[in-house]
Amino acid sequence: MRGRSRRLAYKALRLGISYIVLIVVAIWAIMPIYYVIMLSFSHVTRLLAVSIKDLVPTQVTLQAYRELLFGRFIPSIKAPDFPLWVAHSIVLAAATSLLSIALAMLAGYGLSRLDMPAKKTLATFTYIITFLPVTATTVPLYLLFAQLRLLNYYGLVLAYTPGTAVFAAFLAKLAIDSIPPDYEDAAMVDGLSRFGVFIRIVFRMAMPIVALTALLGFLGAYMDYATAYAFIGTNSNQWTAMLGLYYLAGLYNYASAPNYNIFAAGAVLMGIPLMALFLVSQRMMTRAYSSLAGIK
Amino acid sequence: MEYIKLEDVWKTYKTKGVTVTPLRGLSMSVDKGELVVVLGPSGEGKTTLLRVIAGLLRQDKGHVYLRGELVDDLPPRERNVAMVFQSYAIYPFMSVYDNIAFPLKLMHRPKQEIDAQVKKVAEMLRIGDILSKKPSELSGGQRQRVAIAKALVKGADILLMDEPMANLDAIVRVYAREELKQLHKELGTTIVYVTHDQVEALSLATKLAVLHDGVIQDFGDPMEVYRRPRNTWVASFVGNPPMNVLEGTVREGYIVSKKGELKLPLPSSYRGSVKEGQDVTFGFRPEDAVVGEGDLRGVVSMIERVGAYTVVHVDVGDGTLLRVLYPSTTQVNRGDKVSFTVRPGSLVLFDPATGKRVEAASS
Repeated sequence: MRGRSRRLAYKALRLGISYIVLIVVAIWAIMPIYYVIMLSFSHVTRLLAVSIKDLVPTQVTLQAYRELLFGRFIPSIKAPDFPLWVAHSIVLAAATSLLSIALAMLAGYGLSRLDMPAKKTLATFTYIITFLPVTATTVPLYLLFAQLRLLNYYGLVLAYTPGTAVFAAFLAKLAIDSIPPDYEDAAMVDGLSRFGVFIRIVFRMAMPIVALTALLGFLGAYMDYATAYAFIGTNSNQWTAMLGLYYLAGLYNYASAPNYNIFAAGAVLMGIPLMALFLVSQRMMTRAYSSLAGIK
Repeated sequence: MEYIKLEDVWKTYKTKGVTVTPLRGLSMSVDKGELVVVLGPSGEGKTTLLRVIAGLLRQDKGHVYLRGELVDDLPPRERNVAMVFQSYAIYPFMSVYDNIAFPLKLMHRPKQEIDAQVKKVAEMLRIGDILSKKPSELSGGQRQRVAIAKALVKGADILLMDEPMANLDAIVRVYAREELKQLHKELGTTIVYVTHDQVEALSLATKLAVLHDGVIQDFGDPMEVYRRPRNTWVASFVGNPPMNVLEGTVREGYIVSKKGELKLPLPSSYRGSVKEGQDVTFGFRPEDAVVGEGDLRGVVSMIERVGAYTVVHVDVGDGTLLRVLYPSTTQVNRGDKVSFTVRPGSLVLFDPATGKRVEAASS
């Protein structure tokens, strides 16, 4: 009898400890996000003025959002700046995303299916290239694109795409390797050209990788500061949201410290398209996996 | 009319650094409406052959003709053939209905026509009630029928099948074979069916082609190939259990085996085609050995009870083992002494140098 209750006690203890650990880690992970969201709804403009008290807000205000959405920070632009910047970011990231998908899937299909000499070397090379830190490429890219007279918005898309596409091509190769070639053969006998097979069959069956590439491409372009600053830093009517936010955080109010509540509001707003993208791609990936399961 | 014709086809390719040449000057011709089974050991080019006909692979040398026309340069979608794969290749992200309708959709047929065709083919293969299901919800037999339906829906008159029954249970296979034979009779499609299963080959085929060493070793009526194989390789491959093949010499109206333990009368039909003292290779099927009578002697060394009959391995002296068939009810044990004879008309003679069958002077 005593043994049984001791075992139960141990079980309860283990369970209790796991729960405590999980809660602590969860709080630690969510705290920054909570902090930023709280900050965006508060009056606090200076980082130093924030105290533990501010974690539980007494007043909720939309002042930061109002200033952000309707304020004019750059004198030369007629319309509110921030929405324009966000639009730029989204367009840039979407273009990078789509271009990356096209390049990565084409390259991955070739690496997987075509019989060419030194194929393995090429694949390995592709993989190794992605180990290079992205920031190290900012200066060379600047010099290259300056020569090409492409130091603008379009040049930026071209600069971002290979970064994602190279890594994604390797992933695509792995994904396509795992698709039995019989499906493509059957489709060709059914009446598709090889390219038709690529678009209609391979894309559908490699959907998780397509979703992942879209995500990586979007994320990479959306969140980048260094390369964007190098390319279009001087052209404020082409700015992305990242550039704009950093400007606000550091440069708007020279006299005093940055308006952190505006910065926080900007971060929250920027996060919304990202969240939407994550949800959509997650659904695409799980749907793709469930349809492929169960085939012997 | 020669509906499918392969002329001196060669194909080589490299896999993992090894060069293989599965097709070496292969020639074959199939008449309209035949169900030709290509039988051969695994890994010897049967699938390659099928893919060359379909256009999925381009041959290095030689020509492929479909319906009398040269199709070497045509991609698969322009050859108007249908193919069933061993793995069925049913798209997992589409329902059964969409899978079957796919070829017609690619041809941009009107929706009602597609619907009618799909339903008709589904009825024929008795899968009309699973049209809305996804492939992952089907059993192996159902998937196979969906694959066949997808192939038939185009109405193509040439059907290529790559071991479609290999993944089915033995019992399901028997029914599937029957259904395929029925279908073939009803539709009159020209079918090229590839397999390594002897039983399947013999029961399905209207014409049998045996593939080995990159060429067709024998081609013809299945029972003809079975009883009178063109060469020694075919003799020892086709049929289960295979033919007994031995070396011997012609002496005074008899064939005497090299080791001297067997003496069979030379069939009268061969009298004109072989000379006294000539070396021959000779063969007879296990079921053509008549046990219990005759002046051939041996000792039973191994017994295989298959169920419907028993295969008995008989040592005729000096270690030469022959296979003979016993009815399953007959008692036989290792070490028994047996006497048997061989039905004279069933003996087949081959040239020991080339392995080719010697033609009888008169039949």
